[in-house]
Amino acid sequence: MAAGAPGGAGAGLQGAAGGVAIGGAPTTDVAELYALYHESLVRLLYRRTGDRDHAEDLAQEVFVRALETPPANPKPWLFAVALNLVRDEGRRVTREGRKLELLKGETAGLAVSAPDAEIERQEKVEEVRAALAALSEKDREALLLKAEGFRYDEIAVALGLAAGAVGTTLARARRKLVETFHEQRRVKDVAR
Amino acid sequence: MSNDGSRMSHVDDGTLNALLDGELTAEEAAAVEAHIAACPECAKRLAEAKRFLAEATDLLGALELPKPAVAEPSARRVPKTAREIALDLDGATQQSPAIRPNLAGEPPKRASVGPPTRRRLDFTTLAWAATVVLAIGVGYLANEVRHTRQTIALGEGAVGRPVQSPEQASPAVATQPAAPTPPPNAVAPPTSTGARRGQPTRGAQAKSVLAAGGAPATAAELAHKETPALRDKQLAAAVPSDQAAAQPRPGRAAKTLETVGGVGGAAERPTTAVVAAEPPAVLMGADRNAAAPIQRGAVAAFAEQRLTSFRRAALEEAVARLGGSLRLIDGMRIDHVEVGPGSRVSGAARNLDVVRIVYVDDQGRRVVLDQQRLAQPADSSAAERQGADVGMGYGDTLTTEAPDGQVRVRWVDRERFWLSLTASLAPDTARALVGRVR
Repeated sequence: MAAGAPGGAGAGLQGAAGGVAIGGAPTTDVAELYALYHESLVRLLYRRTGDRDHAEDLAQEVFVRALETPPANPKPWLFAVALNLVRDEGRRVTREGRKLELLKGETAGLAVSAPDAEIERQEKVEEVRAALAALSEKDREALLLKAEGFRYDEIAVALGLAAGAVGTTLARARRKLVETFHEQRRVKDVAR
Repeated sequence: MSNDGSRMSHVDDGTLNALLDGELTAEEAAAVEAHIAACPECAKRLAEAKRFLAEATDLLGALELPKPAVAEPSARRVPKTAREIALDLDGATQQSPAIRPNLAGEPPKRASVGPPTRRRLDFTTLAWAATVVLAIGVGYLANEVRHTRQTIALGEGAVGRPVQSPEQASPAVATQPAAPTPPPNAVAPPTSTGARRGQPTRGAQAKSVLAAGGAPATAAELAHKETPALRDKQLAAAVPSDQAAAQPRPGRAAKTLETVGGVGGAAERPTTAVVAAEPPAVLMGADRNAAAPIQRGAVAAFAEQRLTSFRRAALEEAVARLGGSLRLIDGMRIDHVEVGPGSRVSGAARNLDVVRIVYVDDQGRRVVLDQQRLAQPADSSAAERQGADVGMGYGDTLTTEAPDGQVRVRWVDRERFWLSLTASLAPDTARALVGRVR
């Protein structure tokens, strides 16, 4: 589905996407970017937020912004914007509360009917999410970008890190994620 | 990081990870490997780094997107939304066929009623349906909205679309009581969305995206992961089925018909005829004829995604979604109306539908007026949630300017309509337009 040549009929796609852009620059490239990165963006945002709908919304918003301001270095740009959106949102405590509520409901619903394997999987998902939440923002984001196949230089651009710092960041993030995950399990097992 | 600083001669964890991630140049890698071969400590740490990498990758892999079929979150949120809307609004909404299909517990029934009502139809019938839409639209608006000039403009739009393309208009068929063709698309699930899928081929549809800016449902869309979007479409497409369902469930449905009859002067409202003939919102501002060289795959993907968010609607559906009234810009000609989820519009309440009215001014500039009707403060939970999304209240006005000259003005009016006006106009001109919204 990845588009090859950029066509050149951007006029056909001037977006009024999300109620924002109406006129503006040609956006063929955005359509192309969309095909290339949308899925990856949604996955990253889902991993980051734990809410699929929300991830889709945020991804949508990212492309709306790309329509408004065509980025020069699109890949890191798109993901940086996505992560910024999540961060900004994190500051809005009210919404955060709502999201937690939503996640809680999700699990509760599942517990009623799900088979053991599914419950286990769901438990693991929550543990991973908790471990991920224990990381620093920068470590977490580096990890998520790497999981989307980003190279170090791309991660550096997206997160505003020095190129040489990415390896160290990832090393720390990976270790912390794994160790936190196991630590949580230990605590849980003791509690049982 | 327990292991740098004091061991300058050793390879640090960052470099080990870079090595594992294939980020070192050949020479760097060779040097590091040479050191590791001679240094048991670094070899041990490399093994450790390898383990952390593998395990971290595995852990993140556990956070895979939920499979479409079990997209729990989506499935859950939409019914809630509809119920909230029904509660939030003044009662008329509850009776609206456009809203009712989303109420929890009903979908199965509707789904079973849906498919038989959606049939292929020829051009003449489409024209007929369009005419009915026009007539009803005019009647409805004259009675209810009292903006005659705009009504006529909308009516023209409504007629225009179905006639343009049989593909786009085919959902109008749904309004035909006696068309017995079986559901044409074998892939289509037995839901009321099936109607829009009775479309020819993927290719033909891609073409129609490009040629007309309208993207009918495609096979890809069928398989699309987004449950709420599908439901959203059902919501629109299920209107006729709903009427069919009026008999078994006389209570609310009967009321619906009464209301409809009273307002529009016709019991059979082929609302969806126009509703379903939607263009993807992303193409809204576009020259719909200029898309030929665009990469098909990319555009189709993009457009389909958009399709799942905003779609065209008859003004009367918009009115229904807002609980019986609507804000319009006085003296401007409506180009078309769309409806979509609030989650797709920045600054809007996420759990409420947005009605989007697109105007074109004398000089062909587009002005977009988005609106939602927020819950009354008395319904504190809904109002609070929406307030958190919207971040403003009555009396607040927020004007933002995009680099490309787009001006967006957002405000909440006395009756708790959330409004957003976007246009390529000078801020003052935009604000002047705001003054004409009523």
